[in-house]
Amino acid sequence: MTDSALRSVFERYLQATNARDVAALVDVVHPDFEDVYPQSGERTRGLANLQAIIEHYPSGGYVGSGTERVVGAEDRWVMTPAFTVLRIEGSGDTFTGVSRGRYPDGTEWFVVTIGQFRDRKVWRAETFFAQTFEPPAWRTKWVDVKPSSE
Amino acid sequence: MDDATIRQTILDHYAAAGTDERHVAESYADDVILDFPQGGERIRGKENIIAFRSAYPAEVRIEPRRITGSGGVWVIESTISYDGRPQYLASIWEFRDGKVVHETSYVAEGWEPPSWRAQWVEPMTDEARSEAARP
Repeated sequence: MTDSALRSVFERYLQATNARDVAALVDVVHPDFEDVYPQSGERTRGLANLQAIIEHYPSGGYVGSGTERVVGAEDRWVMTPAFTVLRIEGSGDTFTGVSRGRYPDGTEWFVVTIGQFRDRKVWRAETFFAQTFEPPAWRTKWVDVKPSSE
Repeated sequence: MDDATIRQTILDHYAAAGTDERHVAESYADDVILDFPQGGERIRGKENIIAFRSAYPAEVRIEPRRITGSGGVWVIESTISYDGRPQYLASIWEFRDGKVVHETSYVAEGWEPPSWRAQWVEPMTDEARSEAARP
């Protein structure tokens, strides 16, 4: 499988998790899948547990607004209408995706997912949730404020 | 620059963070861009980054936990502390000619695991979290 094919699998994984599309995960997730949230110290093992969490997600929770970019070792951003795609590892087994989402309370978040592949499926995902913030005033003299979607 | 050299560059960079910002910036190209998407902030150029970090109103320490990547793009997951308060840091570094030309960093706070999903989730000990994070 080429790097671009793996990248496509990772995009589908991110889209499926963003959309909470349980059925779409079957084709892209490895049987020994692990989903790790370092911020809370949670590790979810296996597709069935991942699907159970998605199916039981409390209403009013996180709403993904799409994958913004996936980066990789080709050193270039390749724009598509919905997201940006690159490969990250020379071995082609690690990709990093950045998504953006919003909670019903109006808070905006970036979601950074570092995905590792095994047998051409997403075997391990490590995800960070980072909330947007107002640029601190003390550093404005050195900072350009740009649209956060860039 | 080979992968081992880049890894060492990353470790040297973070070892000096908060204490010697000019040394930290040796990994940057002169026209480097540092982005903080959470605040929509972009800092252009090595000298502005040195000035910004030298003026930081807190004691900052960074401990890399996991480094992944090859060639021109690397991702570093770290613990970053501000005046001793730890948070998570995920940084994407893009290299050109052996120097970082674009860094994109995200800072994230820890949270308590939600109880509603505990039956499907394994809590990780601090030791397991560190072990899982190793390259």
